[in-house]
Amino acid sequence: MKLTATVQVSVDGVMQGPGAPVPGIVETAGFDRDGWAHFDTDAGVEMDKIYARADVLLFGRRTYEVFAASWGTWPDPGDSPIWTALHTKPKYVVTRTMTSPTWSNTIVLSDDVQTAVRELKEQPGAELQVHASGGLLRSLIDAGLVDELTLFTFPVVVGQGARLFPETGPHVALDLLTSRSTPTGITIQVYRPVGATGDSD
Amino acid sequence: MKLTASMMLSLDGVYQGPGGPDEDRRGGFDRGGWTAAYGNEEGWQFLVSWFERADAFLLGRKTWEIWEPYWPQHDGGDPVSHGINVLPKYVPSTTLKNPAWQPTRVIDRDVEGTIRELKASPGRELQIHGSGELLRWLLERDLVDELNLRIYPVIVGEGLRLFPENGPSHNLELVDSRTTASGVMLQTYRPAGRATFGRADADER
Repeated sequence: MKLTATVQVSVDGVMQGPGAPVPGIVETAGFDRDGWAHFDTDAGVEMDKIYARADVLLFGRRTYEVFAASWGTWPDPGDSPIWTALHTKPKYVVTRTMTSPTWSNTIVLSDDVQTAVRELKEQPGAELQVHASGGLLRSLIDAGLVDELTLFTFPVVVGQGARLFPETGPHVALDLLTSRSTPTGITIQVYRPVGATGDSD
Repeated sequence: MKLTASMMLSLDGVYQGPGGPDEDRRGGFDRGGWTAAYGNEEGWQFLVSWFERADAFLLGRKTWEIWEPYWPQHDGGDPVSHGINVLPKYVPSTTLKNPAWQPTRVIDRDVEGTIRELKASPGRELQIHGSGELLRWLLERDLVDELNLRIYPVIVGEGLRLFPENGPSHNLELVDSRTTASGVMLQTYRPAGRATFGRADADER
């Protein structure tokens, strides 16, 4: 399986709180701008297609909790590839604090995540997918384990909140594979990291 | 004139030192030159068509000081290099005095009022190139009419960023989106007030 990651980001690189606030989920202090990622039909269809390709899902603990409190509690709408993937495919969650998750098909990864991810990638299948999960995603990019990075860039400057890329980190070059825009100005880019290049000097 | 801005950004939002290692080493930055691998004819044509619309430039002092020793020696007669040399260059600064590179106009007081007057004067585009600190200041005051971002397919991993960690939100309209063969995205956004938050989307995604 190839590892593909999908993230909703703003033009200022924020990835925190794209959706409307989820009951039971408390955002970090000082962040009150949830709900900046306004999907249109085109972007929604694209996201559906992505989830339809998933064989295995991999989450950071925080994103998992947001998904469990939202998608995990919603009844099957019958026509959502996202709901179907989240409820029927194996979900790995990287955490040292959560021991017995209640959402079905959840497997906890508590140590040596990179080895576990390498083993999953060697298994047959289409895609091992990471959605959001900023901290986990960055560590996977830095380890050279991400095969494709899809960004849904929403036409907004959020002005606060956690960003996808930290202030400091490795220098990574990417190939832009595809790019398109939707009617409301969301751009969808697919990148392939071509590896850490180290410092330019 | 409308105020239009152009900025080269990395995928992680860095604007520092796009052109070369010694262009801007503020803060010990040593990863300059991250656009070098992606130049091509298409990007150049985009730049030419953009400079052709300029009637004046608005530059931060640091950007002006990078340009001042370079462009007078590199006037190739094209809309970029010739335009930079012959068009008025407005520079907000309290330290720059009697600039030799003409036409340069130093704005040493009431920067916001002066820029509003320039915007109200006839003409096509007052263009700001680079000048990250100035652009950030202008965005905070809702003075920018159009934001052209050239986003390079690289994570730089350090350096100054255009957008502040804490600042006003902006709703943006995407006016144009293109990519070059080397993977640079050319996005034109029009700021359109504050963003709206918290609204559940139709399908609750």
